Amino acid sequence: MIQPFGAARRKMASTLSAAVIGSVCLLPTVVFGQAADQDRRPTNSGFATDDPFRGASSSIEISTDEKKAKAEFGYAGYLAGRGSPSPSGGRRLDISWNVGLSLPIGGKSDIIDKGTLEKLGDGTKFSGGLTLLNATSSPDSIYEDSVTRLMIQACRAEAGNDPEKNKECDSWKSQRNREGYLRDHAPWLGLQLNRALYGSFWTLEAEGAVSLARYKYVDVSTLEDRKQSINGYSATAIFAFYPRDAVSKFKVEAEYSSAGKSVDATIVCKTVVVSPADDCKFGAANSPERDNALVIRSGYARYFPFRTGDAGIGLELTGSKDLLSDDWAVQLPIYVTIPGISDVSPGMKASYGSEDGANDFTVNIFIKSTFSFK
Amino acid sequence: MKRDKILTSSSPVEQIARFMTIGEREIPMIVEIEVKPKSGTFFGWDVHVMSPRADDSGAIIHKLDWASASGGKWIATTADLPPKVYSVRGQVWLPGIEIEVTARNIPVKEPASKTWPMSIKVDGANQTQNSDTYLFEVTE
Repeated sequence: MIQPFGAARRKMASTLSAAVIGSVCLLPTVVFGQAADQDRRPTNSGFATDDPFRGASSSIEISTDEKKAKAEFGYAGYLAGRGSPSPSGGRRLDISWNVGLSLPIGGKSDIIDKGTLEKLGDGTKFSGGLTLLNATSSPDSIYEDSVTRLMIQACRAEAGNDPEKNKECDSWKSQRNREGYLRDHAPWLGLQLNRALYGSFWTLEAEGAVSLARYKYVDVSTLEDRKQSINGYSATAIFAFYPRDAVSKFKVEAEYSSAGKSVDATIVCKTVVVSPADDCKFGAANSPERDNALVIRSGYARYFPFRTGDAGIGLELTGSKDLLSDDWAVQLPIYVTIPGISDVSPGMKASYGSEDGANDFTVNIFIKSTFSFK
Repeated sequence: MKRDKILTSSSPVEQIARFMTIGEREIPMIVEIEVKPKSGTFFGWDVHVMSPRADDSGAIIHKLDWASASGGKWIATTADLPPKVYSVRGQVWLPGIEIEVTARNIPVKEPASKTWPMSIKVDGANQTQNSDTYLFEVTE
């Protein structure tokens, strides 16, 4: 996913416990490939609220492979455009703000999306951001010739080979509610209608986050468990461009982060081993390290509607590269939207990348997916 | 609908808008457009009132004067609407943005099966922006 933390935070929930059960028990993630390559994308068990730009929200996320969970809370509001919508259309700028809190609530706390190299996933996290929306309002586009041509095309498709009905189609351009007519009678012309009616728009988002995480490691001399806290922080800028077809999105994102990172767990033994059961222990052999990253992400999301207009396939290609290391990742999730069964959206995700010199290829199949242009 | 039945409530705006006839001369009628965004703000939406030009060469966009109202609503008033059919078109951007649009005290002409409010929402699962249009008619 090319969703940053800010976008994930906006997946808001009103009911927590039931949703968790649903995610863990009813909607398992089937994973192929190496165990270490399991899908780290958390299952979002929340219910999205209708508006991400205002109001309190909360959600809970469960990673189905390693029993990790976190709770997220957010609040968002509105700064501008002040005044009123433009009297006759044209460009406009709107600004909204948001704040969020993410808390680990069970299992391991480091829910990190491996497919996007998100680094600041550990521990308690507080974030805040601004979103600027630049859009074009084009109210009179419904009277454009391109829409007239679509009207006639839709009419002729319905008329078939009947010459009389086809003759009537030339006068259909006077149909008053063109948009409603085309949406209802010719959903297969939906994309052409979008391109005729809409302009492109873009958003620019800036976000900062701080985190506090505690890491456990094993003291080699005594084999005692020790904990160390490390503060993390990140700054992110996201530019998203939405073409006029209304079913696609390009995104470029830069994120600088500095956060703690656990040393890989292994068998830790004292210098002299008399009894392995007493003198060895599983855990991280060293205290956590600080990990700095400058990750550039780019992505393209697209929804392909079926001809009926009420179902389709969504995909989201994302590439990520850490400029301060050799880490990189590419992922491509594909989702199917089934009309009338909103809770069941099967899909699969293929991910390939390199982290700390180790290449991973993973294919995941899931029953419930969360494709969204958010 | 007859023009003298269109604005019947007694809000200040509607009092200004009340239709009057002086002899044969008609005072231009004002129609109120009420928008209720889920966010209660102006973020990510726009609403316009239009009518087609006589030669069918495009649309006349009628100026709307906006004012905020209680309960997160926004009220716009038109000016100078002579008798004919008008369209109310709303447009929303970004997933999750949703508005309800109502032309007060005047029925929907098209789609014939619909009543106010006109709800428009961007469903983030399959679209990034959305719009809809309802028609109403001012009669002699």
